[in-house]
Amino acid sequence: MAPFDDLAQELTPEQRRVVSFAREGGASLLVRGLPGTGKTTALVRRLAAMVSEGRRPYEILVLVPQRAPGDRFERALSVLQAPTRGGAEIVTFYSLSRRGVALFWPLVAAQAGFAHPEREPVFLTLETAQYYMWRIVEPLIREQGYFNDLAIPRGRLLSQLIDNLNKSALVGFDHTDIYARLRGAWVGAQDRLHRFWQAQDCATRFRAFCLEHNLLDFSLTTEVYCRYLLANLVYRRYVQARYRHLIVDNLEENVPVAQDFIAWMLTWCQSAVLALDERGGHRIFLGADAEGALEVGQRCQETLSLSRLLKPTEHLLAFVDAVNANIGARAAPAAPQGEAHRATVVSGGGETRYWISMLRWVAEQVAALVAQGTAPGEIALIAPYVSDVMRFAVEEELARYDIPVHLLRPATPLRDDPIVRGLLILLCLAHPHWALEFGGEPYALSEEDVALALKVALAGLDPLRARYLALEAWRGEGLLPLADSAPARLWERVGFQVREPYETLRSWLETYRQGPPEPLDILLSRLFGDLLSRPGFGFYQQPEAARAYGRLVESTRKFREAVMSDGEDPTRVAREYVQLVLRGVASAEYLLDWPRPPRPDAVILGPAYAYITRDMRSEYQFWLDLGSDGWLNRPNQPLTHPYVLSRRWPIGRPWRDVEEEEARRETLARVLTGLAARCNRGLYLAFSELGLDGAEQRGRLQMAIVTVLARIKRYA
Amino acid sequence: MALIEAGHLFSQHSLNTYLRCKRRFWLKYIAQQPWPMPEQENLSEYQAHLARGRTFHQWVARALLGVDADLLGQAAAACGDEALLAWWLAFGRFDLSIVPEGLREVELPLIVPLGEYRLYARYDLVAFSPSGEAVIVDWKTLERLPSWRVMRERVQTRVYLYVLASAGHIVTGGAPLDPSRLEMIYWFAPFEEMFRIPYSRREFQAHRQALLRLVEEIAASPPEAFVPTENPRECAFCNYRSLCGRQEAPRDPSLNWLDEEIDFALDLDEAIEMTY
Ligand code: SF4
Repeated sequence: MAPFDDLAQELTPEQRRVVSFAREGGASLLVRGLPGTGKTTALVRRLAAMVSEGRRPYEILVLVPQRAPGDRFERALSVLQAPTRGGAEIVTFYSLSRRGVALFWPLVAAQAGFAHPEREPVFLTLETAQYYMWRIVEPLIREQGYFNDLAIPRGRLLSQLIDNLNKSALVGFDHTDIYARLRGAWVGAQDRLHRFWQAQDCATRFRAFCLEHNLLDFSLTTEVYCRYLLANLVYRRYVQARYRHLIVDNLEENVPVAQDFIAWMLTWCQSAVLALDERGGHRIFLGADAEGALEVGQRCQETLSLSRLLKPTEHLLAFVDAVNANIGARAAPAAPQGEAHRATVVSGGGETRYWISMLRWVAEQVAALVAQGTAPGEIALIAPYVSDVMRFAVEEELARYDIPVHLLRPATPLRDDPIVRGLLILLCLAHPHWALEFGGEPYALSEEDVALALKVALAGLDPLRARYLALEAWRGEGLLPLADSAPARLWERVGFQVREPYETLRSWLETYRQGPPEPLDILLSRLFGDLLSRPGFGFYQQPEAARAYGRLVESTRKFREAVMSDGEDPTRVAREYVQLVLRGVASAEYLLDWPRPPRPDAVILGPAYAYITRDMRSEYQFWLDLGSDGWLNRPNQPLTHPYVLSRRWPIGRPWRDVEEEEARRETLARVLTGLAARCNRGLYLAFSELGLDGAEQRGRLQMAIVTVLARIKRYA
Repeated sequence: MALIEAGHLFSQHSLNTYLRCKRRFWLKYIAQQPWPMPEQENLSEYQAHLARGRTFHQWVARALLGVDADLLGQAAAACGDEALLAWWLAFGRFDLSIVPEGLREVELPLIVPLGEYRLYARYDLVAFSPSGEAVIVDWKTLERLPSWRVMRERVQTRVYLYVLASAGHIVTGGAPLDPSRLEMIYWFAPFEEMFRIPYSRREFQAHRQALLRLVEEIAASPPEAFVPTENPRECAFCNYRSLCGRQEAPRDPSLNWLDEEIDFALDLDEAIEMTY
């Protein structure tokens, strides 16, 4: 059975060594190797063996950089016929930190500088952290002209400001050093320094605000844990009594403070096995420190290299080694034994002029593979990033062959979900006095907005009829009564069955308006229970739609819990929430919102980064848009810097174009190697002369690939 | 395809839900279907009660983990919630000397295999004596005091005692525990009332059979077997009632799902984290 492959696989002698490596006496082992060499399988089997032996599994800590890989450990435990302790030990460093801080809060609250250590802390989600940051930044923009020359969306501005704080906590430097670090590396125009200073000022104010109000965002949770809790004797004793064995997967994807914690555990735990992906460190934007990982790994008493790769993968890696050399990356070859000319590489270059014809070619090739017996789930289409246009185009092309697509993507902002958007508009209609503002400009609802709200709330309305109803029902404030005054043909066109639900909805909202205000989550739940989940309304017997509704209620509840003070008017908080979400701030991910595993009958489509960090593998990969510069460029982040805000970059050392160039090349090389190492059979390369925007594409990666392909052809 | 795969994790909550309403079990634990309808008329009060229960459990865990009593006292005094403070003061009067003084584990989750499946229990406190006794203590913040008999028959009692008897030795690192030396204590903070429930080898065997039969029955059920309960009074406080067409169910306050929700929220909290 597929999910439990880790337990079924025949192990190599090296993997068996990992499994049987000593359990006592402070033994430690570093396991190195490229992705696909079986490190995680070996770790999973070691965990399973230790648990089966009855060796107090209660004391084993499995540390993973993100949740998805942790599932492999959980799944393996789930089929063992051995009593095990609950899944709580398979954790990320953040979840360990958060749990520790929540449980031992009184030990550190005063010392960490919280103004009300006697009160419980409030942990912020991404949404609520952005909200508070916005409250700090917005008056500075308005009154003091902060960031006025920066043309980036608000959501991105906020996330970079928060990112700076997160980096300081994860790297372990003081948050007041953000400015010094960014300034010291900057070699461009002086006005940027001003922005850095403003970014620092926002970070400092935000931190002070959090301390004043017992709020813990990601950065402060991590900092309190590392700086205060891990230094506290009661907590240290608790951890030392609790955990005796350590298993770490993807050490290179973890952050410096987590690596410090691991280094500390190495000094006292009974056994430790750390696995490190060579050529990894993809999560650098999230603070991953591959060099630091190696330093920690080198503290282990023994090192073991796993090198067995599938032959086709080895040849693909050799092909990628040649490409990497051509773009000027410095890294040594990943697969010196592989032969590039024997790699299964199919190129669609040369024949395709238009972007859409590139996708057509891809769809044809996918269909041919499926016809030959490859399961669609074994095929991955990988691009530097996946826009909505690309997604729709790929879905459409593959639909011709009846092949569905599974999209890998991070959490969607709430407002991108039409159901959520419709519900938010409905809330605006319930509060016509709200006067929403976006970026200082008043935001007036449009007829499309109201039509969407009506379509979501009432059963049996298509967009056209919803629009028609909106035209009659709304004149710029709340919904109008239509029972008597509506034009004769209205219900004929909209449908008579909509008439009564519409009136019921309108009068429900009217009654709500006349009563005392309610928090949004409670209002939404009542609206759902009283009306929207009943016959005639949009959620009646609609479980899928109710998932989006549930997501919104959960998000509003968390927002209220973090933001609303006792005795406060809930409508202020409600208004702020609606503004925040309609502006497109990302939603915090929570349990029910986690991406479901890909279906075996659907081709995977995703950005390279998401594919690699979820540690996926496929029989065939298609690399799309190879002419695009997106493969080489990193996101424009004018207020932060992943390389400079790291332990690797000393304060004051300039970050010049030459460093930037080199970082891009090395990152690209790491991505290509990471992809090839996760491909079992063959690679399809897709180019088009013109990009999606119609512009000529001649990206450096495309040139390098074309050169290498020509060389291989000659050789062959 | 089987709805429930080998390795599925059952808990006292999911089993109890199944016994009360198969459909609710399916919706909540298998389909994980959100249905954001208020469980009670006064939703704010309901949520406040959930939050209070969680905070109380957190405070008790801190006290048992050795956090300075003065610090905890200051937090309790400043909480501004009379009910919570009263529970806390009541906890201060709980005589901890009635539980063994050896190994004490707080917030301990344990999982044991049950046939092809797994059974999960999360203990507020388990105390083991070196001589092989073990006592489970479960803090309750229910609004009504049930009878001793009701608590003894609870699925939670059976699951907790059974799981500890099966896996307690993993925690102690010693010999398997003798079920007849196990005890479960429910302590009701609002009433300062305690129920002590002993265990025996005979019950251990009987519970094992019954639990195994139950999970096998659930796992073998086709989707259509997860039918709505025949007792509509169960529906009055169930959030799925508009999905099931049971809006008009008669109300019986003793049949709410609050206790389950508090524990469920505690479990869920473990799993929530942020990706950064
Ligand atoms: S409403 Fe009643 S039948 Fe439906 S899930 Fe809830 S308890 Fe079961």
